[in-house]
Amino acid sequence: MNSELLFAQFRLSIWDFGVDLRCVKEIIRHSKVSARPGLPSFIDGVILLRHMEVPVIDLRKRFSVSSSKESEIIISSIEGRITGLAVDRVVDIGVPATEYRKGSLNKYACGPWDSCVRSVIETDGSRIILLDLTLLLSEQELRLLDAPYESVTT
Amino acid sequence: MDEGKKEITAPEQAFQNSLAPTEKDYEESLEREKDEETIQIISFYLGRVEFAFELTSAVEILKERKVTEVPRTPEHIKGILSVRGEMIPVFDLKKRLGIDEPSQGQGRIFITVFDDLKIGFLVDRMGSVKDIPVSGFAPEGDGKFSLFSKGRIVYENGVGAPMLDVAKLVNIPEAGER
Repeated sequence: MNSELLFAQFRLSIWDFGVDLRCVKEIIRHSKVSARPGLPSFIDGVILLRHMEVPVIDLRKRFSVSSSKESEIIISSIEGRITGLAVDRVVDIGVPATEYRKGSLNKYACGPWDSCVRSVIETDGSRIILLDLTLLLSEQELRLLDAPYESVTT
Repeated sequence: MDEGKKEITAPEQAFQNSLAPTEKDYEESLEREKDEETIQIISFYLGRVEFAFELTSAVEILKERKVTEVPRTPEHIKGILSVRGEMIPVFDLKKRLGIDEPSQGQGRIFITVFDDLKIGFLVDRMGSVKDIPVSGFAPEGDGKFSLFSKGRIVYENGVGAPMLDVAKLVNIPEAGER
């Protein structure tokens, strides 16, 4: 049990997910994701943020769930790479949680996200699937994020 | 302007070396933002196009109302409005800029000041007040409204808006006049 875990809670379709708040840099509420030719396929576009182009991964698309019309973007640090995660809505920030170990509540965590689930959390009566962002991307995808910026902008 | 001009949404200078910015790139972007001076602007719409004035030139915004017509004035001058005893000329800004789009019924008279003179501009609807860093302004170049603007505000996530110059709107004769 880790009583000091704080997480950012967000919605994808009918599910509630969470990520460790320590990985969250900022939340962009109203955003425009621009396409760029030459982006790797797991990246759905970029968002301009203070003169940086931050690659955006749409979690609804990645986990094959339906998207709401609106999107919010969680600017996160995935193993030191600043990446945007597009979600339906960020519901809450800084929620402390009581963690259940992954095994005991398996039936709530079955889905395309299985490989990156850290645990399922119970809080205020709702269940939240806590993701481990270090397990979200493959080695190859991380290498592509490290590729030189020029390789996709010309 | 120049040949091969980049799309307005592309940053002029890469602030990152890799596809995904690093933690260091991120921290530096916050530092840069702290150091940047900003200018406040207030935006509005003429048809679907967004424009802006510097907030310092804005005095007040009134709901559209009847103005007293003045005969033998150019078409873009709607007339005179009395505001608390003060007589203020009102320009039809769409006519002044040659924008031919219907109004949506949310018209506002944007009262500005320049050289101690108050001038009202009829616009279709208001936008918002924004803080734009100095680096967010670009010269208008030979854009459509360059004759009347101080420059173009480049939004990070959009096309941008010309920032209009009240003095130019008032002083420059229309094409074809005289």
